[in-house]
Amino acid sequence: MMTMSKTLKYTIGIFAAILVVYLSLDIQNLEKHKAASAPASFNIVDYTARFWNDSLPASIASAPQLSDLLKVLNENPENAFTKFGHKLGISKTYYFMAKGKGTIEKVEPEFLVLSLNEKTKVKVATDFIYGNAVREGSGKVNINYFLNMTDFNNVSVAINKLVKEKVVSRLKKSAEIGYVLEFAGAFEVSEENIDLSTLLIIPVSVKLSDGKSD
Amino acid sequence: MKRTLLTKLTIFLLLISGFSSCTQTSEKKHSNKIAVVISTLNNPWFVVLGESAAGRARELGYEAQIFDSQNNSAKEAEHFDNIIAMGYDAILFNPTDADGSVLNVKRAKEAGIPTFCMDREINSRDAATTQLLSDSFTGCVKLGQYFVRQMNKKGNYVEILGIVGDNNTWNRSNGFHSVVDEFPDLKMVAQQSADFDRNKAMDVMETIMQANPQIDAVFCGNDAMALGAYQAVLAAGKADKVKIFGFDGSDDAINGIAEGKISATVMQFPVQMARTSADLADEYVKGKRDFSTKTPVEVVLVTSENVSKYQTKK
Repeated sequence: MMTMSKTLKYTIGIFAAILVVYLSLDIQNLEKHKAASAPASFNIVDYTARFWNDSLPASIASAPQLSDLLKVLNENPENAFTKFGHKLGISKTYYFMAKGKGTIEKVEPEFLVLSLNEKTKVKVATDFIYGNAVREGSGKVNINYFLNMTDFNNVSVAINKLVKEKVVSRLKKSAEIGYVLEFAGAFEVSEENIDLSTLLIIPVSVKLSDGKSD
Repeated sequence: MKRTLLTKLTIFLLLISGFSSCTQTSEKKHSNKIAVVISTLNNPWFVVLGESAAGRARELGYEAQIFDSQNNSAKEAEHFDNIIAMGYDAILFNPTDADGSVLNVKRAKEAGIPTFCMDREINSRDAATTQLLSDSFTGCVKLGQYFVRQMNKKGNYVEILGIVGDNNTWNRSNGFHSVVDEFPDLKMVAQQSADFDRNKAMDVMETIMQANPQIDAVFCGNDAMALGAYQAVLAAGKADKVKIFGFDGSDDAINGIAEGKISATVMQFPVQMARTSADLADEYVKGKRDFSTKTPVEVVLVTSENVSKYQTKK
């Protein structure tokens, strides 16, 4: 009887201890917690530098080859949207990050025409670097982190500025017809009008060679 | 001994259940009523927003009432007092002020009433359950690029702003300037607010034209102001020389683009935004709790090239 009573006491004690620990815990979704604890004053310079140095290389590393992506977009757009695309809120626009290699066929004032293979040509932007293609195509910027849309949108502006400074200015100076361009870049496609001939890639990483030497 | 232990256990469990109920948000009884609080019903755009939200709430089986804040934050606070006292299930909310309205939303949240912001943003990550917002900045980035090309990268222009306390005013303005300011030969000769009001915009534009006779374009924060600015340039005999750009996609502006009076606008989708907000409120009432804090709604640039697509449907 004495042993029974002790066992019951220990059981109740353990039960009570578990209850007290459980009730003293507040389990939260990590993403929501991060969003809630984001700083009130947002430092755009630090945020964009972290994006450029950490998030973007990771996004480029996992990006598909552009020729493969275009093939899926042609044959099964839904699959391409789901597997590789990013969409912001309620929208008909999907954003992608991809990488590839091609030969420069034309140098226009606002873009280069690049031949990926005999059949596929794409445009790489060298002017009018605006919009959210890089921010959204990377899939690395979470809107819930930001206090307001102004901060969120300023990230796109700051990223585009880096694209112009670090990538496009150099590309514009050196690009010549016949050169081989190895690149990573972001672009958008509307699910309403999947016209891949108008595709414009915003480059985020480029490597030019004259096509003769390694 | 046994009885004492049982008594202790009962007291302990009662205490625990008491603590437990204290740690949870009190679940209120459903009233089957949804409140729609709109910043002003003195603007047809917001009338569409409010009526679409209330209409969808009624379709979903709720009693829906529209409250007009008359662009007055004190009036808005009064509406929230009444809504909280009357125990509505949810609030579909178009705020008057990005900062000033936060407290109202927090009070509703404390009373167990979720708020779903529509079109206008509040500066808070967690007060509203979610915020459905037109992606105004991105829309004006597109408009800015079109503006630059239409102006051949040079000329004098005027900007007429909306209400200065509204985030939409600055999202539109900043989106536009994030493009246009990179072209040094495009010079902004005046920037003034007309509170999203057509008549005020006409007055503002008349005054600006007196001081600046050489104006090539006007960028307005909404279509009502664009139409007011157009009236002013028309009266001054300059309608064919000054390009007008708006924002909203109102029927008048769309017709204005088709008739060559307005150069471009950015179309928002208030009906879709309002109906989706009501759907989300319904999901909340039925138990869903996992919402993204912000949901941008895509907007579309409308110009003479694609205006026919938007002349009848919205």
